[in-house]
Amino acid sequence: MYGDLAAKLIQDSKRTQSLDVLPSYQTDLVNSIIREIRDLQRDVKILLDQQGPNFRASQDRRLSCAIFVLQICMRRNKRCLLAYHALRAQRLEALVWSGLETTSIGIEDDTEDEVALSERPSVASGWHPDEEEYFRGYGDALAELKGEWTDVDLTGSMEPPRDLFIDVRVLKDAGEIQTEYGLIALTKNSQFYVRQGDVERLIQQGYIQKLR
Amino acid sequence: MTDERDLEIDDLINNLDNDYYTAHPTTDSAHVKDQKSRDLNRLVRLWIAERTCPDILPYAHDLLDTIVDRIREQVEFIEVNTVSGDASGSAKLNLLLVETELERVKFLVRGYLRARIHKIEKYYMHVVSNAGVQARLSQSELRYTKRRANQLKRYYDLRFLSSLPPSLQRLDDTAGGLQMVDAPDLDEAVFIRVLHDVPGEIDLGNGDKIELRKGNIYVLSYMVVRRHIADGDVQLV
Repeated sequence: MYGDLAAKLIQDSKRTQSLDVLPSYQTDLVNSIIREIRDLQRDVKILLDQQGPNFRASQDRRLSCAIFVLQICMRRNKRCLLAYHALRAQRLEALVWSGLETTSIGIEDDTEDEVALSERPSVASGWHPDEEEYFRGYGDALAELKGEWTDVDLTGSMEPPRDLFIDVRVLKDAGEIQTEYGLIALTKNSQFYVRQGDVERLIQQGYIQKLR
Repeated sequence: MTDERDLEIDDLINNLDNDYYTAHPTTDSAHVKDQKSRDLNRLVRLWIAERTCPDILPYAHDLLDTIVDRIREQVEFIEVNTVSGDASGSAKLNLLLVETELERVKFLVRGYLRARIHKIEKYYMHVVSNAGVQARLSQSELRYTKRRANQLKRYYDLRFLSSLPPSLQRLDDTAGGLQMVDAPDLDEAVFIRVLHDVPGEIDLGNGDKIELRKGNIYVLSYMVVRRHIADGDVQLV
């Protein structure tokens, strides 16, 4: 049936919404839907060609109904494709906001990003190459925007700040960080009382947990 | 409401801050202090308005520029005083307070910008195709929107759009009674507080009329009060 494939894609989108990790890109499914749309378009063309140049929709209601249905199916398929890709694009953007490093940026940064880099394949697995490109491109665009607001740190926490200093526990080894009170070695399971601003990014990346 | 509480805390911190300035040689005149706390209050209002308003409000160039300058001043102030190593207890406490306030102001600016970016991203097609909206954005916001719109278009094109029949390749189609471009819903209800009496009655559009009295809080469609918000007679809460 027309539209069955698109429905599958929407089901996958629905599933994506409830997952924490972005599932694999449905290359085959997307390609089949594109093919279906083209087949439908061809059918429309054949129908129209049979009628010759003088065809007017009001003359033959059976035929115009058939064409109408084909058109509707094509449009529905397109909407499903758009919805699927818009959702994935949104998820990719959320990943950029959450501080996941883009490769181009990751190289010039310090130790903490090497860890992020080595983790990257598992995060990006199942992504379509075009999605990686979009991810990087969006990362660059956001980095540019951030660059104009270095004073406020755009990707910083959206929780209203209560305390300057917070208790944190280190979940994963994250190397050393430089603070105004000296060097702190962040080894797993250790606890610190540190300035929130100094560790904000590590909290976002899941290296450190805030204690209440 | 938490906003009220936040305001009170802000005032408290302002006072402490002012105490600090009076105790130190870099004292500002009373006038400048007034101006500063007015700016801070304006920033709070701006932040609340941007978060509650369904449409994208005009970007507040002047205020943001001033605030960013002050943030830089404060950061410098903190750095200078930390380095000078003034170890007495009260100086340290004061420094902490300045720093805490700084974090709070940064949070407000961040919240303001993020609220805008959220709306801009949601309605990017509307923004890209509408000069009126573009006039309300800052330069960098506009650049960002256009860049992102191109990237998204490219992603869609590469993945499927360019393989479709030409008649189906558009992203801003209105055929079939469906509007593809998402625009802000200006009829959305907003909470407003009336600052000055608005002369005459305003038309709610459904035949009802209402008089806006100073000090009252209403829930009305944004469309109806939009003009009065721009005039400053009414504020979003």
